[in-house]
Amino acid sequence: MRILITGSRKGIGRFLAETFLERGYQVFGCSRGDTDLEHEFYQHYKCDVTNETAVIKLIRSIGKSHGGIDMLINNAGIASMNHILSTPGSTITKLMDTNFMGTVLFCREAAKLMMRKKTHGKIINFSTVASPLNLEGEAIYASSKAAVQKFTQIAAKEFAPFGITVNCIGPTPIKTDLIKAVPKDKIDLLLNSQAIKRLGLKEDVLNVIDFFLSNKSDFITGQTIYLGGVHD
Amino acid sequence: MKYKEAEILVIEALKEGLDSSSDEQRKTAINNADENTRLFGGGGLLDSMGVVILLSDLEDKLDDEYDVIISLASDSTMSKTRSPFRNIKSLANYIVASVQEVKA
Repeated sequence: MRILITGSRKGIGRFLAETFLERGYQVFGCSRGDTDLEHEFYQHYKCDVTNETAVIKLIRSIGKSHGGIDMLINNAGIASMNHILSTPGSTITKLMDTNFMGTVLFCREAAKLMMRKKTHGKIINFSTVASPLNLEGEAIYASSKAAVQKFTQIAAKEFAPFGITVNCIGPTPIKTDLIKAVPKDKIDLLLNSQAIKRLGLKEDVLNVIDFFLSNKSDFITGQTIYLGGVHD
Repeated sequence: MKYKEAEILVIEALKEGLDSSSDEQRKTAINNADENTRLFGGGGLLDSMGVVILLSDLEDKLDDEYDVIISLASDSTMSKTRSPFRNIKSLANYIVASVQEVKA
């Protein structure tokens, strides 16, 4: 199996890359910087997910070297917590470009490759519980992820004729760099909004991903599964 | 890239897209295609799904045969009147212009 994971240098992306390598997958990863992850079946690309040409080149390179990809996990993302009134325009652009446009570009190019190679591919995008919970201070981040969810639903319809499924996971806060700047009282407030009031684990994310990637999930597409008992 | 090369590329891609499930009428139309052959809209050979498949096949061929990595996506792809995919001539011209833009 050939799997591409964006944002694989650290955090959940790194954990997923290492997990799939342990399972014997051919793993492709990317991030803006270099990685210290070395493995015979791991190939890392330095890529800004918002750069259309770079994304096209990355996917085409995989197509040429390995004949295609079976799975794509759009994990790369950034967060920002701020009041709307004090959020700079540049931050809005950066969040929307990385979280939404990056996801769209990788979906588009990966789906083309899957379509050409007649791979019944599986794509998983990343949202967040901050979106259904409408958290104050997360307007831009949550909106960028809400856009990812809507995109997932429509991509599921447009890619279904090619046998490609597209689903989405909405994790709770997980102890990674993404939330290190968020004050503890804000995290506690968020956890109290969940049915199960604890931080998520990387293994919780992996569990949902395994479900979406399973061959038994061929009839499941356009769905978002939230962790922690959160719902729209 | 010259216009004639782009025209041949499009016709080749259309022919390669034929398979055993293609009906005889379609096979004949593609095998006899020239620059005036209507592709999309108004009795064209392609529906919207056919357009996106052809787009992807052409990007693949441009990379393989001309070493040009390009996205042929356009805001007017699905326009019945302005789509570059409306006939082989308009598509070949669009490819030539897109390749020129990338190489500029």
